[in-house]
Amino acid sequence: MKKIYLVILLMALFFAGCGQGSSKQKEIKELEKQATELDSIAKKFEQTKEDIEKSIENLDKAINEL
Amino acid sequence: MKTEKFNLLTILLVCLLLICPDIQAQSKKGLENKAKNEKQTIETKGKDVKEKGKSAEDKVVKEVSEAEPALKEDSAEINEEVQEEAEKLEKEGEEPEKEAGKGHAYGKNKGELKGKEFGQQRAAEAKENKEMKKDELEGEINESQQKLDDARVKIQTAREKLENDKKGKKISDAEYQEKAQKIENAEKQLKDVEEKLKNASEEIKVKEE
Repeated sequence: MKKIYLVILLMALFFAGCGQGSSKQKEIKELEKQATELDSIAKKFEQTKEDIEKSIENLDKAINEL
Repeated sequence: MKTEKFNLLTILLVCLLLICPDIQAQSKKGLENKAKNEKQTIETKGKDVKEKGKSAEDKVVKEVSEAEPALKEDSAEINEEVQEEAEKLEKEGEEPEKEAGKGHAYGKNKGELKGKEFGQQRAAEAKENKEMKKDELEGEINESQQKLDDARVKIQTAREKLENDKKGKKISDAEYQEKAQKIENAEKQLKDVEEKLKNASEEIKVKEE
């Protein structure tokens, strides 16, 4: 009977250990997702800036032709 | 017999418990090693490219200094050519460097950081980068706004001058049409920039929310 308790205890420890690992992984994935989103926003800002620069260049050309 | 089975089961479970963290650690270690290797490859490539660019630049400088006294008459022309070549070589040198660093520098200083800490650092870096890009965009918007104001004044002046010239019959109809077309084109470009600046401001607001 005592051995059954021991087995149950060990199994509980095993599952507790695995559970903790997966929650940590989840947290890491969440952080990674957050970072990816921030990167995409930064990229969008950069593209918009480049787009504006191009338009300004075209405007300058048009103004110089006047 | 039953006791033996229990013993065996217990031993198996203990073994599993012992192995489990090792497997996790190994997978983490594997990822860390991979990142480290990639980092080293990128650094090596960068160094190579820098050295190549530097030697090319030195070569060009040497060529210029050698060519100058011998061809004094055509010095201006030669300088131009050599400068072009230097720029080209520099660009060539820069491009692979850019390519080498294409995969971002995330994890560059990973060092002893473990999964969660690395994730936190990576997120902090991404946030910082986003803020920097936002500031740059805002700066560009402000600068462009100033240019827009100047352009508006220039277009207005050009239009007034054109109308006066037409009234005073200083220009032909064909010239008038041609200049009017140019003014219209400039106005179109002006509107395009205005629209883009407006969208960019809205974009900043939306992304900040």
